[in-house]
Amino acid sequence: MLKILALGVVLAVCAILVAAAVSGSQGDPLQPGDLAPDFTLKASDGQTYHLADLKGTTVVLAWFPKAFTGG
Amino acid sequence: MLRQFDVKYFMISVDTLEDNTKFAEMHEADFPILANPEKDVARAYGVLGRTGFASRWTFYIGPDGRILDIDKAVKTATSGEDMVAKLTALGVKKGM
Repeated sequence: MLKILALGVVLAVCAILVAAAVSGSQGDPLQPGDLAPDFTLKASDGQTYHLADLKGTTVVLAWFPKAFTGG
Repeated sequence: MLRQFDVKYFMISVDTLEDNTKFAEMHEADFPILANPEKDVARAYGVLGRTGFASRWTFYIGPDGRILDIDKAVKTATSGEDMVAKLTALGVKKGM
């Protein structure tokens, strides 16, 4: 009986861990007022942009799902 | 439309640099399109969906590096006008 109970607890913990991993766990959602995550990425104009280098300027970062798709 | 404001505008996706470069050329984009095929920046911004693509969210980041606003209901048909309205509402200064 105790073995079955222990197994159940272990399975439940495993399920929770898997669910957390699968969810992508991106941490707490960003909110206005938070520091924007820094990045260094290459762009279509041949330049490499580092967000920290753009301090002093307002930056608009428009995420889109996929190139060559409608909208 | 955004040129009236003192902002740096980027589009960004998890596509490859090659794809985004072709996309930019096809649409004669006069702004940089950033590529994040590693998806690490997408994860950091919380935009990575279960499909592996980014959600269509726009982040407005102030001169101090802090997020001013996040638009999670972007309408592609009116995105330009909406960004102008947002930047105006946020009090972003206009360029010279």
